[in-house]
Amino acid sequence: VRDDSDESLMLRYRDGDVRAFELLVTRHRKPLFNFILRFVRDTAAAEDVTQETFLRLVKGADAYERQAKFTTWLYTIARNLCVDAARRGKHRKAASLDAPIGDEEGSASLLDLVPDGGAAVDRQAQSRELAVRLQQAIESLPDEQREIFLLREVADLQFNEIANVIGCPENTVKSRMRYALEKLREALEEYRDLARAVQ
Amino acid sequence: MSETTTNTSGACELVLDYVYGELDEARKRTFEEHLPTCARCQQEVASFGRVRAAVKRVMPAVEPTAPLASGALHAQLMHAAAQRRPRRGILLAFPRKIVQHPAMSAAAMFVIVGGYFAINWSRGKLAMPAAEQTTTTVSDTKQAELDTPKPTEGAAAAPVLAEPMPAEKAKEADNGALAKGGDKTAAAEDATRIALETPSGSYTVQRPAAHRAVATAAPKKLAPAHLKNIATDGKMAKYDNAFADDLAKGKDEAAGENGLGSVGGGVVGGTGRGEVAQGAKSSAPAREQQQQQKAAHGYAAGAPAGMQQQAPATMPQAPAPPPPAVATSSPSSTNERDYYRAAAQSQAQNQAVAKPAANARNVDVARKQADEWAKSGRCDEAIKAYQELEKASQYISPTERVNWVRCLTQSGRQEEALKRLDELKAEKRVTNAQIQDAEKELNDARARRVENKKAKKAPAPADRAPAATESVQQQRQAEPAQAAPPDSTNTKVKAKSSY
Repeated sequence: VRDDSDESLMLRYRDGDVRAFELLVTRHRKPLFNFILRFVRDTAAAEDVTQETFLRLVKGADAYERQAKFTTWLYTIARNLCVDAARRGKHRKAASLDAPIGDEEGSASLLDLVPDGGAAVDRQAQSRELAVRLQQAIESLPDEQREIFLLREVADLQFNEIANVIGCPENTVKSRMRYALEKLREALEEYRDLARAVQ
Repeated sequence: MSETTTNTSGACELVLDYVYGELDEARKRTFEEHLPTCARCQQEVASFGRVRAAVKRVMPAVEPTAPLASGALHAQLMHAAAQRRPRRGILLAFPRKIVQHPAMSAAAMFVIVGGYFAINWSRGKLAMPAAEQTTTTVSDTKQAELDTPKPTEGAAAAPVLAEPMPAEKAKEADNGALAKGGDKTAAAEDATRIALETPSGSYTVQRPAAHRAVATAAPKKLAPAHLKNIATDGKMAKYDNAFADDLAKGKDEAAGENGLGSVGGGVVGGTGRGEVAQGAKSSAPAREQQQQQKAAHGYAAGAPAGMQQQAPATMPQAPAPPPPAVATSSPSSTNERDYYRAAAQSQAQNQAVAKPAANARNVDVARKQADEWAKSGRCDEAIKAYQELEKASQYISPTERVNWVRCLTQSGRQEEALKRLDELKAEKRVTNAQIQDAEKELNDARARRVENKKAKKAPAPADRAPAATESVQQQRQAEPAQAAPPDSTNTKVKAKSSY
């Protein structure tokens, strides 16, 4: 059962096998949560959207047919919910990675929570600086480019699948992805040496 | 920016797919062959690779939170997944799709509503406005011919059919007929009512909605020309005046056998189509059989030509040959009368089978008529009516039996009266008072008869004899109308002794 494809598991759940659905949840929970977390930038909202996404799967199981990949369907639901959540949370400003957590001066920042690869102290400092610059560059991407970048880098969807999720041609997806990579590369040029050092 | 990274070589466009590993083997080999020769592609591959590596470092995969992984949210999700009932059955898939699809739902509603109206339309339940063009009538000259029923002349004459006329002409014809005192039946007062003038009286009948709806599609009925037109609106309903007279007076035996209300049920109070119009539904073999029956009884030759040729088109199948006594009257009218009598019998039987309620009403009418006759002194007619009720296996109440005995007594049929009186005594519901009344009346009649005989036998003065005879006759005539005389002890004793 564990080796079955996502589509087979979903069909089995449509026929009443709850165990198959649990396997699907276990298989896709982590990448889905990461994608949603990068999209909505809030852990609690990411939990809610992730839960709502799986509930939508339950409600729509009767209508599921093996016409497209399961991941395409799953991330289409998740992306729509993220767009709705992002619209609702427009008034919220993105938390700065450099800002301290809480009101106390000198407390740890969000950047301190970013895990590192166990590099040396100097490398850790460089890596933090790189991460901050890169996070800012990603946050500054337009929404249409950012969602494609997240779907490709975080959710690991192929370009044709992203095209199905977004609902636009594949060439458009590739074009937007290229724009996003170009912007990120420009952001990294200032810290080229730093990046080389990190590498 | 992007213009610097794109070129027209074709292979350079595969940079992104190559970086993300989405090229198949053939295209990957082609791009790798192209890559050493293109500095721009080499630069893009390197830069995109660095960006991806940096992104992976600063955006590592985060584990889901505890509630989502194995806590309350996970339990809630699994509970919701377990609560879902899988759909089973293929038969409900199509209705489900119909319900879910708005266009299909609208189409289904259209079919349902349209079907409802179509069914009601076909059944005639939908009242339609009366069309003036469908009102038919006959011209003045032909109407005058129709007013006077002449069976012998009408037999040779061509049948006059009510042709559809334009509304203006029909209105003019109606006005002319009314101004000349013509038959009012030819001119309908309005589209919803029919004025009927029969020998037994004038009637105004409410036209049924179903008739108004199907008036335009009514087929033409061929009927003898001498028959009177009593309906309009495209439906020619004919009846025979002589037969209608018989029915109205209650003297016709055939009508009496089948419930004396055939006039009310068939012509006036019924559907308005008339007896013959309904009888026109008989099939061609039935008509042939009827003609053979007529020929077998020897009166078909005397029937008018029009009747022989055209009347069968409207003849119902006669269930029994007419009584021979009727054939002694004038040939043509008698044959027509027999024919329509048979038609009335057939219709009455059909009505008795198809409409038990109407038959019951006819029986009630017959009962009331018989009682009225008995009370008004028309004993012969009352006796016939009671006999018909008995033949029809209808229950005769003790009161009716008493009336019957009284009528038999008054008409001088003492033996039959005694027989009926015995039957009356056998009746469980009869009361002693009723028996005593009947016995008293019977005894009184006997006593009067004896007195009359004695008076005849006794020598009377020559000058008083005629007066006595007249007084006896007057007394006889006055007996039915009078109530029973006051109790006479002598007659009562004699009556008791006679029993």
